[in-house]
Amino acid sequence: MKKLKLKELESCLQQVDTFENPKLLLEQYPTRPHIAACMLYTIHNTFDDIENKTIADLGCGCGMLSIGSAMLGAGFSVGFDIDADALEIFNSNIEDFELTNINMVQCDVCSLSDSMSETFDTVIMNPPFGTKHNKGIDMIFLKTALQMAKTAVYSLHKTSTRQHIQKKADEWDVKMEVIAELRYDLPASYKFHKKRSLSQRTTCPSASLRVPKYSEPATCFTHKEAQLYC
Amino acid sequence: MKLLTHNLLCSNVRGLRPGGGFPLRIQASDVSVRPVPFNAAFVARLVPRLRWGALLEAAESLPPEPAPDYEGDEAFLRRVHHVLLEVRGGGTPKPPFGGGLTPPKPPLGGGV
Repeated sequence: MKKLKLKELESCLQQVDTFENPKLLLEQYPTRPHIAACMLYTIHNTFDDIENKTIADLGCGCGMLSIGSAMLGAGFSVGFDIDADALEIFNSNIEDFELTNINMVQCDVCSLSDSMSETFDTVIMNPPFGTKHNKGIDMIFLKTALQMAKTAVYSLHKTSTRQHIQKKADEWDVKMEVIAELRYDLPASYKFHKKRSLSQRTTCPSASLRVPKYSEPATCFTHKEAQLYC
Repeated sequence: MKLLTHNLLCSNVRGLRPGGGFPLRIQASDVSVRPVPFNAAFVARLVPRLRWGALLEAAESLPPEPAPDYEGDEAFLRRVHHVLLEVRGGGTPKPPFGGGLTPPKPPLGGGV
């Protein structure tokens, strides 16, 4: 398989369609192509957790991360989301890109039990951040992801929740490392976002986490990518 | 849905006995076949992790159990590849022992 460069991956991902009418209550914020590309590229090149692996994407929405992993040579990826409208866009994306190794499942991630333990090699996700209405949902996603993954979970979280996640990680006996700090370049997608002013979420750098299932030599590598953005 | 996805999923409908939610019953209303590039290394890695029994229920063309030296047996791997990745069934899989998969309700009801 031809090796994709970061820039090429990002420009491919720019063709991925995202939510037409994002649903606020489901916290449907698209993963931006730049963030998705940086995240996936690192997972692929630094940790080799994509190529020939089975990958789950929890709360996949329109499938940005699943599609990106398929482009980087994932053996098979499955997207899970509750919203049929988002999955329909996901499906048309798959057809546009002519990708053959992706499937999607409509379900409530919060109700996935631990019966799917270790069915996937890697979980890559941008879960709802658990603001106002959905408090704690980010941790439910993380816990479910850890049960499903055999090797590692990669997840985007708000920086302000890092300490809490660290605490939970210790509690669950998994090792957490911060891989990157990314700045969300979120265009105003909801009416309450005033154009050109930064919404709360935009100013909030979010951290990309790697949560390996089993301890291994620490490769703690934290780098700031904020300047790439502003 | 591809049979690989079917094989990876367990039904998590509450009320079923533990471990009894699998495999989802297949009601393939329209089966189609779409070619997928063959990746021997990937399929070989998958084989030991599959629930072979569930796969046999869906596909009669497979041997009762994988041969001991399946990793080098390309013909076998190609058959598994075809069944897992190229055959697609329409319809909604059902959990065993009756009952349907109720479509998930958004936890918070509707959209904006």
